[in-house]
Amino acid sequence: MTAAGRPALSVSMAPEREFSSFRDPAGELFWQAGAIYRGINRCYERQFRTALQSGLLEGCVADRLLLPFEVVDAAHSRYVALLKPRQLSFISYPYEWSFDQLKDAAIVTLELHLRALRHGMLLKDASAFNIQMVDGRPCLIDHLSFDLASEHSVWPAYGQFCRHFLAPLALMAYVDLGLGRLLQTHIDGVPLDLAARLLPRRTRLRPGLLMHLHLHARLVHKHGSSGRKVAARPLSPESMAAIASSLLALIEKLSPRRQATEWSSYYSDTNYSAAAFSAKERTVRELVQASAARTVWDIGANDGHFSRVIRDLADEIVSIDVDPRAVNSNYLQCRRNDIRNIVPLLADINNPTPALGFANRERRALCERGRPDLILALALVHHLAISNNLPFAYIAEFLAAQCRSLVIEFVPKSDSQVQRLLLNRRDIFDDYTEEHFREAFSAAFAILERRAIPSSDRSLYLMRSKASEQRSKNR
Amino acid sequence: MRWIIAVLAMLLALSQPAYAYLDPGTGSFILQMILAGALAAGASVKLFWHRIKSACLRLLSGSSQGVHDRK
Repeated sequence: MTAAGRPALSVSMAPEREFSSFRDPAGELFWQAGAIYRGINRCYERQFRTALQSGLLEGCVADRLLLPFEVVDAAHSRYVALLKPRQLSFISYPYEWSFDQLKDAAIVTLELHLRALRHGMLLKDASAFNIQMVDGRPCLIDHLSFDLASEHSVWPAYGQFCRHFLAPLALMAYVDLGLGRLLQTHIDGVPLDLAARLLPRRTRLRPGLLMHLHLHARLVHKHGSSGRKVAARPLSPESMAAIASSLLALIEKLSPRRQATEWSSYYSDTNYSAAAFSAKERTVRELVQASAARTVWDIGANDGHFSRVIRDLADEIVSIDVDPRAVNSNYLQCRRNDIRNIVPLLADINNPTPALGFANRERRALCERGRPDLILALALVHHLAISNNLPFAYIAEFLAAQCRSLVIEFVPKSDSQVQRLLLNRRDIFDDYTEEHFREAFSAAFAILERRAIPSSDRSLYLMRSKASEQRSKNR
Repeated sequence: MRWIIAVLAMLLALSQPAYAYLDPGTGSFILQMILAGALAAGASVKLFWHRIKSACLRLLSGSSQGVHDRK
């Protein structure tokens, strides 16, 4: 601690700049001694002091809209102020969120802007990448997103907000829940003209969408190449608030029409009896407890039922599924029950989210974003091995590189779910047997325990990754 | 003839704005100006409408009060 009572920045290691932190000249993110810091440059000093002294930052942190932070002593650094935000162990991206996750993130962004306007400031960035799921809720992580309202004629982030939030949400609501994935190919937000072309004509009858999306797209297209500098009398904070409130009303009303997806009736279609299902729940809990894991990735989590079953056994559970509706149901259940340590995530294990952005270094690949203590892979192996023709050895190698322990369910060919997969295709999977499964997994894992699930042909395994043991020895 | 068509086509192609030079900010700026005006006008109409409505209601409740009085 310093004389001022603030914690001081450790100077024992050289700082390493966070690559993605190059867009905003107001400051930069860097890593030092395993912790992330945000340095504030001189050009943003006045804005930061105003946000701090007006109580804006404090109020937003108190209401869980902004990531908690502490001001660190920056006496020997090149910054005018230095922040140490609460450290996050897992980062998710907007293209990995379900409809309601993105919708709540949009609402939080607008609430922050409206609150800033009441403090004589505004939100100068409305990037969905500035939001993270923290303790089960969306939360702004960029402490330099506020600017003095008097410096702007209009809300400078209006277009960005519509591209990052409104356009994907409207497409998910009116066309297909999977279209949130467009944010993966358009990392600066879905172009409004593209969204306007994809949306059904009837969306022009909704005044909010007509104004903020269709008319917006047309004006962006019409004036984008004019090369004129537009000058006008600045909008009052009340007018800016009226525009934000109109967007808020529009977003709050958006909801996806009922779209049936591949997995929407998974748990009602299952072949488990109630007794077998509760036996499976008990066994999963016991095996997770035996692994002593604090961080878990539940892959193929469906609506997150088993993530919730083990939620008291871990600090953080990333609950991954490929189905947008299942992930949304998971998020809504967590939100309703105020479950804070589960992060529902939309991703395909057969094609995990890749690294994106400039030099492929702005947004990290899913597999680069942490290595959990435990991977839970329930009722998944048959989808990888049969639906995607993956050899057991590939699956084992991938999982062993990604975790320390593994709880995996083997679903035999006799199981009705596997029979469904083979219903209309030739069975070329002679190697799909429990014996081959054990053999392939033994190469990458030490098998610690096997438990049969009563009243079913399935079994659960607890394994420990050999690669992980090697990594621990090398450390 | 083919040369003329080719040159014309080339000129037309060149006169198209280059996608990389599109400025998405201008359209958003202009729209906010329009929206601010429209939303302010909407709010005034709403306020005006509320005033007319409450005046009518007052008038009606006043006349029904009168009916009661006569009874």
